[in-house]
Amino acid sequence: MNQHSFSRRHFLEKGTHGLGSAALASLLAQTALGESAQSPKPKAKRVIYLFQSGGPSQIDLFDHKPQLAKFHGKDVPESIFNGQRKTGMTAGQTAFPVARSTFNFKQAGQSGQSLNADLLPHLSGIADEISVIRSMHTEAINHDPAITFFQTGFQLAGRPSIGSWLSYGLGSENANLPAFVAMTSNRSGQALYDRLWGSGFLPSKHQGVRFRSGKNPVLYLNNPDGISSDLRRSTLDHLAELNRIHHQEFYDPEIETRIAQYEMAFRMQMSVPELTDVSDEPESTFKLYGEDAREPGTYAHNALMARRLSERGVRFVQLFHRGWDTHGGLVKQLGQRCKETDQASAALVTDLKQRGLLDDTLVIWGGEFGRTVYSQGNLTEKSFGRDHHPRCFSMWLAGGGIKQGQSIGRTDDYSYNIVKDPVSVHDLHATILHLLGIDHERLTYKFQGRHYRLTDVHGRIIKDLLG
Amino acid sequence: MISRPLLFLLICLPTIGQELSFNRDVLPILSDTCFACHGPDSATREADLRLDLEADAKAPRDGLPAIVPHHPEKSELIDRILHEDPEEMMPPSDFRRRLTPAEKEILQKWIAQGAKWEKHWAFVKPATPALPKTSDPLWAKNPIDHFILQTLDHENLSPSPQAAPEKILRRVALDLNGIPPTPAEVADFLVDDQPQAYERAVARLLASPRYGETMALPWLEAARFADTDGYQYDGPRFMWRWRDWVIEAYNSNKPFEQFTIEQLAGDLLPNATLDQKIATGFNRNHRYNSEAGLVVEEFLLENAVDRVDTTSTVWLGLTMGCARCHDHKYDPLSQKNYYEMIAFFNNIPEFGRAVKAGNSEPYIVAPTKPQQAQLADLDAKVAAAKATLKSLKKPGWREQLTLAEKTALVTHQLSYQHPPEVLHFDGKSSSNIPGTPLSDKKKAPGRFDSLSPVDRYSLSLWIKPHDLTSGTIVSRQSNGRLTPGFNLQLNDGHLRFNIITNWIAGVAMVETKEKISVNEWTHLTLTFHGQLRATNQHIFINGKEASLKIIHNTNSNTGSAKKGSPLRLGGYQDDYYHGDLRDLRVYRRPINTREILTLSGDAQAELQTAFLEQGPGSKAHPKLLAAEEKREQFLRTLPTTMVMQENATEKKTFIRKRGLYNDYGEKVSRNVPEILPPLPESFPRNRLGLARWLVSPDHPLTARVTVNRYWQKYFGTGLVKTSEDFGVQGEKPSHPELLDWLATEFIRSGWDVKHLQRLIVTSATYRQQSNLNPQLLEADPHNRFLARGPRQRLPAHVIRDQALAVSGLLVEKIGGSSVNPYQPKNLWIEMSMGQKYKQSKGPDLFRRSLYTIWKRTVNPPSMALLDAADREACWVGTKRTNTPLQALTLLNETAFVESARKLAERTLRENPTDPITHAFKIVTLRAPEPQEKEILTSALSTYLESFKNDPKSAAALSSIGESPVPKDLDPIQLAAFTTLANLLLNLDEVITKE
Repeated sequence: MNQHSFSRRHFLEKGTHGLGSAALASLLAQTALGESAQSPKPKAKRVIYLFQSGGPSQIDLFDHKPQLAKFHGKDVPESIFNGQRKTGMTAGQTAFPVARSTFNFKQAGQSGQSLNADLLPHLSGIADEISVIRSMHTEAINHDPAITFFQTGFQLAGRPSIGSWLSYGLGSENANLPAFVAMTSNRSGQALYDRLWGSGFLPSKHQGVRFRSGKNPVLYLNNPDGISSDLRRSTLDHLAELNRIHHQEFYDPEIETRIAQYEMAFRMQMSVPELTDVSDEPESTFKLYGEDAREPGTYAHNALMARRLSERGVRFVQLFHRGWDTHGGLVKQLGQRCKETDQASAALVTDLKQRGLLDDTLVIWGGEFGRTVYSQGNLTEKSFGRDHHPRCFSMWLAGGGIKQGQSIGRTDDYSYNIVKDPVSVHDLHATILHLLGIDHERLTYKFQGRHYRLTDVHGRIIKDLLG
Repeated sequence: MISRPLLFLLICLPTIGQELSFNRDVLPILSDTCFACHGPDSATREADLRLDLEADAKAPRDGLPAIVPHHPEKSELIDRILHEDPEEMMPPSDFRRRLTPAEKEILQKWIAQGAKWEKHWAFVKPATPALPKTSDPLWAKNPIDHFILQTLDHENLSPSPQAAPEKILRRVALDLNGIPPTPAEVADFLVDDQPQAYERAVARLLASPRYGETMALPWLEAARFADTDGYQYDGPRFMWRWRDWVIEAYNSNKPFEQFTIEQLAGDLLPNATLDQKIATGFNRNHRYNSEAGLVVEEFLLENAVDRVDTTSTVWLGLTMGCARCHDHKYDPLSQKNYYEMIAFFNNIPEFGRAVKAGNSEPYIVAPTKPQQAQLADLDAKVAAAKATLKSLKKPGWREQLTLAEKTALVTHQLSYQHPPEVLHFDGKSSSNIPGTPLSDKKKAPGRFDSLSPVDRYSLSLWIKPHDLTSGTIVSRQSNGRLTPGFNLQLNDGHLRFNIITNWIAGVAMVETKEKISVNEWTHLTLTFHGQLRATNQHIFINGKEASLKIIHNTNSNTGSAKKGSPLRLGGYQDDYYHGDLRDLRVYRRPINTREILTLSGDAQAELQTAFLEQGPGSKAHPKLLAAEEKREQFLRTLPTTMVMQENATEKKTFIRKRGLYNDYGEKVSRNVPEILPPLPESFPRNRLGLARWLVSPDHPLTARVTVNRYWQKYFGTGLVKTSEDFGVQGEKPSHPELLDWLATEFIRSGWDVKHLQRLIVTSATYRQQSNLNPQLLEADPHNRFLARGPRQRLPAHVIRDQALAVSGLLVEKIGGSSVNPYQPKNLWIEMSMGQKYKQSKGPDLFRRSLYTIWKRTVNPPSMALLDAADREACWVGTKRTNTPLQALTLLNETAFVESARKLAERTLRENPTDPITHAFKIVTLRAPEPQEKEILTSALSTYLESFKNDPKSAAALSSIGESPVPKDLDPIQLAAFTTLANLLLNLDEVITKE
């Protein structure tokens, strides 16, 4: 029996038993993935994923179709639909009138990225830093399966989320903070679910920890009223003493682990308030991110927190901003969302760059699907809406080893079908893992007799995206 | 530290010269390394070679047989696995898995030994093994122990001494009742020197109603039980009557055979009782989507998929779900097998979209025992009122009636009646009846307020259409034909009754199968029994109920016509009615058959109604109406629960290629996988037949899978570690003969669940002490050989229940609807679509954790952090992690802090002289060692000092939680002791079963 090779395999599949995550990480990067497969050299060490929940409209933000002015109000030709399914909300509509975008687009930066100049002025300002994918597509057509697919690589509940895969694969760089942190903003809009940052069948220690706004950013972080930090320190010392006595009798390594976990809990109590207290930020920070960033619970504040977490080595930070589901009253709703997010998203990229963090931090912006070219409900001069559209939509990425200032993929004149370089959700996942130095086909976990992967049995690396 | 799988391989690795076993030594290698391309899945099969089938593997294959028994050198398989050329070598260089030299050697040796094939162990019916001979037969307390000791002998290990009495009593009480014993119970046990004292303690625990609650919890996790729908909106549902059923089933020791049949097919049993129907909620506990944009066909499939996957995991221990999209990669289960199983579970009258808030069809009214008694009482009152009326019908009553105007009949809850003239509609216009209130009173209900998708109502009218093609006859909608509200339309002579909440995603549309006649007066009645359901909509034509086709039944929210919307006669611009109309009436209730007949002009019915409303019955009739109304109102307060039912005609089932709902393949019919025993001809080919097949004594899996889960409950790990997978990729049993002995004993005992628990907990194996030492840790770190008793951190719910119990906060009440204990503020609203958490008050804060409301998308946080299953899908394994967030939860969460304070209060009152020893005993059930006592004493004085200097903090700490702050205790002392109790509740010993 070749014990060495077996142990290696075991670590890949079962995570750490006694070995630290760092050891696992080195295994992954060097030999553990098998002699034959060259493990990719990591370009990024960490990820900030700015998830825009509800499905931002690609036609109105990134995928400019000036020719739609000609078709405005006319039905989308059947040749464009080509028998593809529609959601239950518009499948029964008698007409599918084209709704052109009412916004102004401009070529931004040296690279000339075409972006919505009305709603995305700040993003336009960093156009040369980002790479826009205009040819994303997904299999799901409704929010729950679609966002679950994006987060876990599968439409139904039960699989680990991207961040938990990374925690499992790479561990944490900071012993006092979780490897995976999720934050939410905007209390209205589509629902979010524990499973979006859950660990599925992976050990639960890999699940994302949700940081909340307010004085208790991590659930149960604060001591009960009346227990001071000194008193807590003292009780933990007594607790450890008693547990150590018990360990002498029972000799169970779990007891030692427990003592260590209580210590780490105490360190988290010390480090998290320091982390979440943004009062030490200079005025320039709030100029950059906007005044909203002072207000816990806003997207801008979360974006600033994302930078602070990344600085401290948190592997995967994910923001979820709700309210992009523009079935009706699109112009107003989209304007509102962009007002909340544009400045802070761009600020985050700029801030990371200024701090020298952008090179090894991958920033991703996008939702779970796009929106239809046709109007949902009546199309009037003042108001219209767009239904869910899985066939094509746009995302952008920055930093972390991607090629900047470029566009990937193209859609047809109606922003309905992809005509060049389609990118699937699995492809995006494979590429994220690749940038972090992980071969997506080799990061597996055995459950129910199967070696599961984030990318299931799919996924190609988006070569054009790599710098 | 040696990893568990590595250790296992080392154990299982045969010594050189020994006969190799196909199942033990060879199949795991072939399965994990070769089956992906040379296994059961036809879609990914390479070179047309199957290594999962003996005949295929040994076939001549044009002179290149993969396996030639006794001749590894002539076997292509060996040639290829030893090849060094990347073009030739197997598995191919880009495959994720490599063969180790040891594995290569095993394969060669096995072929040299004759390449003997065996059926996968789990697919062979278990035989009762003889008890093995061991080094110390007297150690054994029951047959389990002989098997365990046999392995220990083989490993040169010996059993650990028996656990101390207080330890074993705590262990078994936590395992069987989920709550530790009290110090008094331990004291009684310690002085009981009669034989069988332990056995009697076990019997008491098995007889306690807490046993049912404790056994129910893992079953709720397996059955993915929750209080919400799970997808997107994640609205509430009500399945607690099913939970009650489970608790009661365990407490009454329902044989597992019956437990299975009733949950899978209770509705199909002859004369099924209410309880048997409630039991079928097992397969309605899955998630269900109410999202507006969904395609119902897709979710009809997902629902059936969840039922098959859950049923096969729980009873078969097989990952059938792998065969949804393609043939199983490892187990001999084809995609066809999968859809043959789907066919058992897709024939239920459901509509593919859940209602947003509440139970979705099919569901039943499921009164509790006391409610059933109340209902019977109300029924009796209705019957009495009817009898009174009957007695008033003296001979000749018909002749004695002096009829008033016909129009005055059927007036109860009549909210609108149109003047008697005939209205003419020319197909170009319509008229509105304003929705003004019936009375001048403020807040009085509007005339048409009841015409909503949830309320009950009826409409009656006469029509004489001149054109049958189309036309909206009567409607009440926000602003047009497709807007929220209701309408009655003509569609090519058929009548359509639509209730729209949100076109087209939320529509209930029914249509009469028959047509009405042109230019003829026809009487129509629409009745609606509320609750958003098309199945509650009825159309009567000339007094006779019409047979209906349900076209849509997707209403899931309560969208209704705008307030004050008029009742519109004659339709809309794009859908005018052409014809006459008269005598329109609107009622705030569904009127009954007699009343409908009366309105349609039936003379007999008219007489009956006149008797009741204007004749001799007119005094007694209101009493009947009142009794009926009371009964109806009561019925509407009763709990409902979702159940399984069968459609009258069996739905056709097709293989779905790649598992996609709209990619149809071959048509299939109900059957069980051919790798398992066939479904007997005498069994019905439905869920009932399937359930009986699962629990037939010849079934190789059900009993093994079930006893393995029981074993896992006590020892933390099953005899088969992969309790969810008994297939070829699952782990082999650590004690195969013991597993088979337990499985056959289970069947022999008549599937006696309590008997099985008793056997396990009274075994010498279970009763060993759980202490480790360096040797044991080295030899068996994960305790798979069981040379010691189980030692594990308690499950989430047991930790909380224990804290509530030892502090005296626990409120014990069996069953009932779910409760909302403490939760950090705004947790739901931050993530959900407007749903707020309404925290319970009083006793409901302190019920056992299995009653805690379970929102699938936002789990109860303290439970989730302590590794509770998320209830999104079936979960039968164990998760046990050790994290800093758990430490924070146990130190800081409100219920734990309040429990600490109540434990402090209790201790200070019960034993003011030595509260430290007393509190320590309550939580650990032993006296502290001097060293421990010393630490605690010094700790307490530190805490006292701290609070003395800061009395405000003392008050703040004592005010956490809803229970009142005691006035009789010194606040400083209470706070200091609360801090100490908080520490005690966090001791590793306390949160661990040992």
